[in-house]
Amino acid sequence: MSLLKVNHLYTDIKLSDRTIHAAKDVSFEVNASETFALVGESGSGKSITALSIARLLPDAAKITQGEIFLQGKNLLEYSERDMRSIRGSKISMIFQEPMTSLNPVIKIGDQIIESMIHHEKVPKAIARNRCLDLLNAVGLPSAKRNMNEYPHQLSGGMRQRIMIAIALAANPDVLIADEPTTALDVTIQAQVLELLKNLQEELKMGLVFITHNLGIVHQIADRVAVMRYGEIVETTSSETFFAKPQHAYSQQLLNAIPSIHKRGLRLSVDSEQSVESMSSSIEMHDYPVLNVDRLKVHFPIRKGVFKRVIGHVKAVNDVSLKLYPGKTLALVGESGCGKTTVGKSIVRLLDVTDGDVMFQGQNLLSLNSEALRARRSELQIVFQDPYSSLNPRMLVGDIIEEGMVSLGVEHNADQRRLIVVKLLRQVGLPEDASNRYPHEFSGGQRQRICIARALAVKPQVIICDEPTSALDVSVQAQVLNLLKDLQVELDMSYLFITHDMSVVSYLADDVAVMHQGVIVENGSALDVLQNPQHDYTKKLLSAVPKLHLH
Amino acid sequence: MLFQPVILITDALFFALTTVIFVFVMIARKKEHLRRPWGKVIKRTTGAVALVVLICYYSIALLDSMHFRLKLENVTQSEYQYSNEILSVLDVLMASMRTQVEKTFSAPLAVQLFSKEMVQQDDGSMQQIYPRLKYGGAHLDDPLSEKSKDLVKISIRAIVMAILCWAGFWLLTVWRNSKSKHSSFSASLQRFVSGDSEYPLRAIAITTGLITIAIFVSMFVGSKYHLFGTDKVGQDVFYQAIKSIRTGILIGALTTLVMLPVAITLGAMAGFFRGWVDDVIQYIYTTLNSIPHVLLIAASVLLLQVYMSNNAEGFDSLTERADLRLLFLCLILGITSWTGLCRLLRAETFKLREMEYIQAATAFGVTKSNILARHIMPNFMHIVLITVVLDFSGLVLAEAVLSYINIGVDPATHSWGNMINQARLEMARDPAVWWSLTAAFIFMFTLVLFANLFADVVRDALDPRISGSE
Amino acid sequence: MIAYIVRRVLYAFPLLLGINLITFVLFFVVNSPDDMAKNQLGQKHTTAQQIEDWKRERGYNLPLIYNEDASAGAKFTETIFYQKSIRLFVFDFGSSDSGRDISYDIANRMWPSLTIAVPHLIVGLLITITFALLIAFFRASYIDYWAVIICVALMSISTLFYIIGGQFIIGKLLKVVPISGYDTGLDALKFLILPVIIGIVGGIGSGTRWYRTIFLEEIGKDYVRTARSKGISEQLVLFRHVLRNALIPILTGVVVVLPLLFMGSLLTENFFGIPGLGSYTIDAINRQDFAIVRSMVYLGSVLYIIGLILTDISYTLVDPRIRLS
Repeated sequence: MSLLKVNHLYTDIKLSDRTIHAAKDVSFEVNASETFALVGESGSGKSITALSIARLLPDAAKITQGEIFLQGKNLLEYSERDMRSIRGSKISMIFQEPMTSLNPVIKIGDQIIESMIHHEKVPKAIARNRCLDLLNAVGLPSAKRNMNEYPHQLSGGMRQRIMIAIALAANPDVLIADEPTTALDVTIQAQVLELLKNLQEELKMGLVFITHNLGIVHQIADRVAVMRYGEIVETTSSETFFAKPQHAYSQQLLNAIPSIHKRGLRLSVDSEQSVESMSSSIEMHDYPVLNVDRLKVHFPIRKGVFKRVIGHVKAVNDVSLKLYPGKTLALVGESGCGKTTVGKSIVRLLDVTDGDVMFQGQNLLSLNSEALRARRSELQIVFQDPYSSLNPRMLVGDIIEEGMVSLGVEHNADQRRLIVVKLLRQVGLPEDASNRYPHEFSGGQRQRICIARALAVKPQVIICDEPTSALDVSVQAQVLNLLKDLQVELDMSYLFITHDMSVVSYLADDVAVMHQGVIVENGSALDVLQNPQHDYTKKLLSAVPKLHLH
Repeated sequence: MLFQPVILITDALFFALTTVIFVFVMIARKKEHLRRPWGKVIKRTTGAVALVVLICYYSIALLDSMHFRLKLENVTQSEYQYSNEILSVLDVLMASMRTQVEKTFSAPLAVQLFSKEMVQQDDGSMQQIYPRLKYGGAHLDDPLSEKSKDLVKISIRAIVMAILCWAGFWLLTVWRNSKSKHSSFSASLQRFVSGDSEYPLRAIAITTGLITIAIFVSMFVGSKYHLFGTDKVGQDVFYQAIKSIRTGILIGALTTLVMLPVAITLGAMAGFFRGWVDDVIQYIYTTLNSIPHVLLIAASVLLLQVYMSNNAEGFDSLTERADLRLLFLCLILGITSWTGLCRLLRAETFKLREMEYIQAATAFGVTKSNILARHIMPNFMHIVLITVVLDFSGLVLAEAVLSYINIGVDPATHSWGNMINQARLEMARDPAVWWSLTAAFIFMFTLVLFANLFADVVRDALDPRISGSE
Repeated sequence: MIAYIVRRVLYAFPLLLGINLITFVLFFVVNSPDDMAKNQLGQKHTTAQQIEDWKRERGYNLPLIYNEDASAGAKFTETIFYQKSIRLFVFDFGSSDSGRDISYDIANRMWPSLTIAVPHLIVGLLITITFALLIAFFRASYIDYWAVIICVALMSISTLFYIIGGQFIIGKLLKVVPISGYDTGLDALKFLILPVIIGIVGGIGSGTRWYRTIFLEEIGKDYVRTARSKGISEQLVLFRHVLRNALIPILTGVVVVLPLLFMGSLLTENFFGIPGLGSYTIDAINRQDFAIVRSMVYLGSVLYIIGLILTDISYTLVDPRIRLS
């Protein structure tokens, strides 16, 4: 008998104007000591399925049909009261956001012992001792002190460990982990994954792991189910899945993942198609188009009665970069390393403390605002979040035109409209997009609009600040393909800021690895990736969940 | 000319506001991102019903704002001379109620005065009786037996006429609907009756039906009786309550008109420029906010009173003087109420200026004023609208309280606060004179209640945090 | 922390100066003392001498900000600005236009104000929070729907009607307690009950609705889902997890008004004849006693600023996330 069995589950979400069938006829089984991965892109219904199992759905969502058996008993027949005795003691959950999933005003220890006391009726003193053991087990450095701290005093990785401790507090049989590492940096992610795997083996739990990241699946899952549009399209063992995916969508997902082996190839979106000519068309140039020299950006820390400056946060400390014409330089680093600050300082969205940014023989940092404006059209930036980078109150056409107007690239309104039409075609959007508002477009389409907006002023260099990190993997593939095509077509250079090693390995000509405000390693992409010198680069590379595909 | 139009300052501002609203509606119909949330408001039954009620109030206030002087009769043809009395269109429509002034108190629908008086009888003897009213039910020979029958008769006539008008209008609407949608009239009618439509037409129809009936009944009955009785000097209470609508609406609406430009400009500037601009603006609104609002209003109005009594000769008429005081009150309320919105907008601008589309605009070299006008202001307008609608009911309530402690509108202005103030002591009489208070209560409560319900719906529809991500 | 409080207190001085300037301009520049005198003495039959006497008795005969006739330092001190406005900084309110010592009146009258305002605040808070929690417990049900409608209806009724209606029903029809008046000691109780009850009932609508919004916002947060996933009961989720977080905005909202309790409520005290600071202010407004109104404006502002500082401090006490530097 399987530990957990979901049978023909249907869950609906009722919105004010329509109903979404978030889960449709979902069936799967999980055995004890097994890791079962539920994979899918955003909106595929994987989280709703997880919440349905624990019956923790938001008010608007309802299970309409199906059965969920835990050790042979149908949970959907339980009263809410009986269900509470299951949650925490038999089924536990870990959520995606460690920052918001812990109660900010209750001490960590109290949050952990809560379910022990509730389910096992143990005295508080014993519970606290067990809590201490648990904190040690999840790898908190000073468990005793941590128990009396509040969540905000710990980092994201630490908080996710505490979430795990809470979930394990009452020894559950099934642990449901809903994207537990998505909000974490890749090195932290590796640690948390290892911890989960070890604990699972030790405690012989059934682990339902929900993720969009196939690398993680490859690393920890025994069996895999792929979800799309609320339905499971394929359920199989992990080996078969990666060796021989059956469903077309599974194949498409695997092919969309950028990697070093796919350099020069188009990432498959629908079908395999190679563009061999790409890398060969780029010639070597000796002079960098953009030369960042000893860039420093410090933010003051103020303290005391009169807010005197008592020190500085050295967000960027002595960073030098060279970007050659027609090439892509990847600036890699984890969150908080200062890579975005570098990008924004180059286009002078932030004030720079010291250093030079030489662009076509001129130092951008010493230009006055008039002279800077004249240069702006040649240097553009594409941002990370496709939702906040488009003004929701403007038509797409106006958004794309704005730069041409303010930078005086094209004064004739009719001409501008023609250019907009051309750009939209170039980035693969329908012509009538210019008369619509951003909210009508999906994340990937919005990122295309952002790229069109940057292209409108005919830049030579585009700074891409994590342009694909908010996108699903198949959409990311489309955007990466587009960027590559445009580079060849228009002979542009990219400064590509990212945290994702697979994107770097797929796309970059040169790589600079950034850590705590400084560049730790610098060189051609193939050298750095295959033969890393600096410890941090090695750590970063080894933390990436590997997909060894033939 | 039979009359000479008079435009008081508040009238002018009120017309300006009406124009602004009209223009906004016209623009909003074209702009998708404006039409969508407002469409949501009207699609909710509560929102649609509240809007209908509010439009009724607003229309009455608008009618009451069209002022003029009538031409005096028996003056030679060659020269025109106009009466000193300033009237409004509403006054003309309610002429019978305005002019039919009794001697003193009378209960609602009464035919006699409220208290006994010594009256000389036909035979010359003096007797303590309840005298008949001059106007209320004067057409009856024997009020005791005839009154209730007469009331029923008038009411039925009014209701029948109301329903005829109402049904005519809605049948026409349904018919036009069926034409535009190319469906049969009976099918459209059936859908209408069963409430199957994109907008809650049935609820709107019921509301307008009830309002039409209320208007017809009150006009028919009101011309023969005093619907809510009369006050101490014999004035019709129903007429007073209706006249108070203009004051209430004006206080709520003009105050916003006064404060909006200040709050928007300063709020956006503080949040966008930060630094010393932010410090100065924050200092100004914290200082103003620190002074208890009632006291600041009290102090200002006191000073105005002193000024007016010392410069009494500067005012042409009582109406103009009262009008100036009303305007001044709106100004003062505006000064005390802009701080809240300004703080909200400052915080929102703070957030907005970190948005990536603002940074993108900066990277495109868009000037700061253009960023403010094109990127920041359109994106916090929903906060402005929500605040305006939320504040409205509070201002109507505030007027009553301020007038009650004599720092509100001029005592000569019709307002619910003044009605309450005058009627308050009458509650202590035995038996109590309750009708003035009741009338003020009903009209004020209805306005504030529907304004509050409307505000709720507007907030739900416009606040992106509540309406969910899209 | 200490540095933060010191900075907040220092920041209060420019604010107080600003308030002082506003009151000065309002009371002495916009309306000259001559205007006040004319207004107080009546329009007709006032001679210049009478006005001069009236001004001298009250110290309004000095120049506004600069006295050319006085010697050295007195050029600035022998002025209305110094005598009437700067002295407010040390809470020297002077005497009212009718000649009474304002500080003495304030000290006497703030206690009756407090005896009404404090029970009103505490009991009202308990009741509204309880109601709001109950509604939050039954959220998205018909109970919730109708409770909100009732709240909106309750808050659409003017305070005036609550007071008049309450006085009429409880005081006049049922004759349970006297309609108005005040007494000292325990006898005050029977005079206090009615205004306190009416005050609470009048505030239930808006209070409950406001707290309900806060509760619902908290209930939607991720940590509540975590708490539920532990299997603890809904009541425990509400009381242990939601309430603790929701109390932060609620408490800090209350702290702002704490100092202002001294000022009392204008309407309640006026209607019920309570000799507190609220009715003091109203009487002054009706008598057009500018000295008292000016003092009360200043006092109210000071109390509000104290409230702001207390709010900031209370945040650091109740919210572990905020450490002020």
